[in-house]
Amino acid sequence: MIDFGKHTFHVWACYGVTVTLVAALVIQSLTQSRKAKLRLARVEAKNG
Amino acid sequence: MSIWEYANPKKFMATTTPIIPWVLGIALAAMFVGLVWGLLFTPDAENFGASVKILFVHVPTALMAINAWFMMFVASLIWLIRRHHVSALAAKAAAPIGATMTLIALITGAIWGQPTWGTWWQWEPRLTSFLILFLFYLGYMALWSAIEDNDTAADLTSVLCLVGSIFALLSRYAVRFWSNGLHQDSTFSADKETHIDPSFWYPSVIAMLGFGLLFLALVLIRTNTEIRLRRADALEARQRRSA
Repeated sequence: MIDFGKHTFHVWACYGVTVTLVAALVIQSLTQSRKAKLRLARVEAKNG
Repeated sequence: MSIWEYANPKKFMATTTPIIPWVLGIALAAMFVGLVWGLLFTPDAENFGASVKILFVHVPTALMAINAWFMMFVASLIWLIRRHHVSALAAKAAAPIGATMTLIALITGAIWGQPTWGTWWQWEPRLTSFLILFLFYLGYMALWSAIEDNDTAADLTSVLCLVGSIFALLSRYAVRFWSNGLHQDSTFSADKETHIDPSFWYPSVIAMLGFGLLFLALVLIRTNTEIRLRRADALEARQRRSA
């Protein structure tokens, strides 16, 4: 891991939090989108 | 062609679905370039040392936290005035994104504050107004979940959004309204020269562009999701009535 002197913990903690939360948000958005598409396709198929 | 044509959910989905992968791809690429550049290829700042690298994530997320609420404000106004369902759903879709950006800005701000100001938190104007903005995001999402009737939920959340806009505005201009806080004034400004060295400016702008495009891509994805769920609910209700 790259050393940022006395700020190493602070810098890596910020980037870690950001990447984790952004990745979670993107994955959750895409998962919800996929589920909604499947649900609508199922309901539309039932309706003919 | 009028912009109001996109208030038609089918037209909105047909137009946005093909561009979403491009916007998301460019957003993630810009974020990667901006953040890696900022983290690995910028010098330490004279005053702040290596902690200045935190600003490459803190500034764009703080900016998006406020801009997301502003977008919700405009969408809520459109709902209240013109009753376009897509605008209400777009505001609903933007809230979790804005809340996440606000949370990241609060956490990274606290981590930045510890080595820079010697404290993780202080009840000063910008920090406090940002915390209140985060609570408004949570309240807005809770209100959408708590009300069964979609139009009533859209009405009440829109009113809450208008009220919360005062705090979004305070978050943006708190440093100018009250000069007794820890937080410095804006680093970037459209009406005067930038305060920062080009070696920091370029990665900052690329990171901000990335976060802006990410917000756009996620709002479009989540709005389309809300439209599909609304359509599925309507079809299921029709099925139940005819059964």
